[in-house]
Amino acid sequence: MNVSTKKTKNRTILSGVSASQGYAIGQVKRLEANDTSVKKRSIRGDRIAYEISRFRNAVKLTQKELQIVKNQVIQSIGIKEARIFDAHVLILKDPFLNSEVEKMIEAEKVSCEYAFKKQIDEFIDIFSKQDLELTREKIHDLRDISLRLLSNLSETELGLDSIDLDMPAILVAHSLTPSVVSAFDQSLTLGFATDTGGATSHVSIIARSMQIPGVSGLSQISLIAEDEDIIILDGYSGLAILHPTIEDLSIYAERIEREKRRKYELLSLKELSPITLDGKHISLNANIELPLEAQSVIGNGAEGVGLFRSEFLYFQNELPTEEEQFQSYKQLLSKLSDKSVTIRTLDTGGDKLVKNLSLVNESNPFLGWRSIRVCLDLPDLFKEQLRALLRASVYGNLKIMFPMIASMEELLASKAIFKEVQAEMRAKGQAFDENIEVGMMVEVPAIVMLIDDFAKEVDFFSIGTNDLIQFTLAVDRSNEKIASLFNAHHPSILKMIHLTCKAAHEHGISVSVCGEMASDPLSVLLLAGLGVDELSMSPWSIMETKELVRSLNFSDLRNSALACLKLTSAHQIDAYLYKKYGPLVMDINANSPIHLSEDEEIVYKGYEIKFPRSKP
Amino acid sequence: MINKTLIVQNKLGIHARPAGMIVETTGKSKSEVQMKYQGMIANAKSILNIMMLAVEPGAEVEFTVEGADEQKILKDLETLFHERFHEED
Repeated sequence: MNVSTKKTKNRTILSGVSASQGYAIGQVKRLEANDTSVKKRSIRGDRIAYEISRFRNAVKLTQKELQIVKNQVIQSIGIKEARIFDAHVLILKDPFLNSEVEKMIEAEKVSCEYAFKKQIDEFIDIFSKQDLELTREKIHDLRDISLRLLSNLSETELGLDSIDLDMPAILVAHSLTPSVVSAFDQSLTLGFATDTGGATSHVSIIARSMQIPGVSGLSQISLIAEDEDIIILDGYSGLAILHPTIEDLSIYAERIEREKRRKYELLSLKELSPITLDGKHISLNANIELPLEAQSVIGNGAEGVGLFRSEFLYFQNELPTEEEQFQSYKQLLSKLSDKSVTIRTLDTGGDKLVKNLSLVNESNPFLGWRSIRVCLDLPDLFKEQLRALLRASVYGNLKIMFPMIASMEELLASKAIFKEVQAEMRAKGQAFDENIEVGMMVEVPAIVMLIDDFAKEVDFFSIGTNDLIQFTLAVDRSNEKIASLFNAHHPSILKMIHLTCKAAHEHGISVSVCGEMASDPLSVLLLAGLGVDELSMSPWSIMETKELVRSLNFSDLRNSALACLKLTSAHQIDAYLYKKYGPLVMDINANSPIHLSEDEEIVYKGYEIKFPRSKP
Repeated sequence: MINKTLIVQNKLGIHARPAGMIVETTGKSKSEVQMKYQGMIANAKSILNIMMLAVEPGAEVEFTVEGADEQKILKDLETLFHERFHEED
């Protein structure tokens, strides 16, 4: 959508979420969507009403978006230029268009995506034959509205026009798909910015593994950014600055330089072991979700995979077959054949719904039918995954772990099914690794009360701090009102981790932590001191954590952790840690959120900026 | 029910913006509003329908309004046509 204007464009800061860390300064190159992927799809007669309501909801949502964009344009460009969006809303709400679409859904029993596209195409056809110059120009707007509405219909994944960059650029699109991102030219793509998407989408996983900075969830960037506009992306804070000032540019040019130096420094750590000054080894592993991330495990110097979230294989329209799962596990294990790879069995439910498998409308999904509970209720599904895992086990060094165990019965039942699958495979003469270690997640507080009993039954523990904290403190971490109560340094959490480590070590098994806590610098110090043997985190956090581990004495960490165990509030614990390690952590952690204000001090004034910049 | 023929006095004809202004006038009304041009009839509450008529500058358009506020709507439309849709030169 081109809001053409001869006015100088105002600096506009858009706030979204970080999709992939890193900074970028460059010129915008828009990726235009197309609707060629919308195909005719028939629906059942009893789905007509549902299809129509889906269409009406998308119209409403699109209308809201246009209102937001209009306000944005009023602020950044001007009231007159924003009038164009009034016409867009009129087209979107057009009674004739809407009734034609609904009639078609009803008469031809087709999806609303198809009916809408058909109707819009008819109008475009009519207008393109008209003599009035100004009506023909409207075709462009019709296309924009159509694409915007189609992209708001959940089933549509719009195609993007192919891009052939001839110079470095920052790509701007309404939304991106994993396949489009994988095809980005790494040498010329400085970064990307999208209207939609969150931090955990597959798009961001792929972008991170390609080390292309990105910001998503900017809601209207694709409507206001035009080709060749100058833009700054801050993939750490999730910001985009369109038409930046000279001050913005020098601040970010300096940050890019600093980041480049920092990356170079960290690279020297890649081959070094995560050993404290006094010789204690803390294993650092990666949390990943896709086999293709094996590359970032190696690239970031991780010792292995501490958590492979297998449920991501299930996030598609059909449940994966045993063969499909086997191929994914095999690909991962053979790429990392010299490293240990811990795969967690299906952990669905809570906030991770799997089509055809998850219940919707559970009143309390985190406490509902999820994870190991689903697997034990559907043993055939569970066995299929275990068979795929065992078949793949010959290609590497596999460990299996069960999530959400809340009772001894559940653990024993899971182990029994695992043994059953092994026996069946032995009977058939299928090869698998006979020495696979089997562990469990410690994330339900009840387990910690009985931790000694469980330590006798498994080969390792992995503490899932996100759920453990949520359940122990009775805090829903997705509820913004109480988000500050979700505190990893609550004394009860420290005691639970300590108890788990003690029991594990008495029984000669290891403890890993794979929640977000494992990459927070102050928490890392605490966890190591409490006796955690392995930390598993996002691949890009490993180098900095390694640097931290290598700069400290374990005996000192141990004393600090024991001192913290005597404190009675998270506040006291935080104060203790900040006082003792604050300066060290600040010094190392260059990625802490950066606040952008008008009066921020510019360190490197007079930095020379030329466009286009080459990729750092 | 009332009828009235109006003449398009602006230079560019009824393109998207004038069509939008017509809809902004008719859309809030409870009356039925139709526009007749060269034998074609359009729903005057639909911007797309109006644009499909491709009304040329200088042309005559016949409006038919039927409903409680028909007098007021027709008067508003007359003003709009008379003021040439606030088109700038």
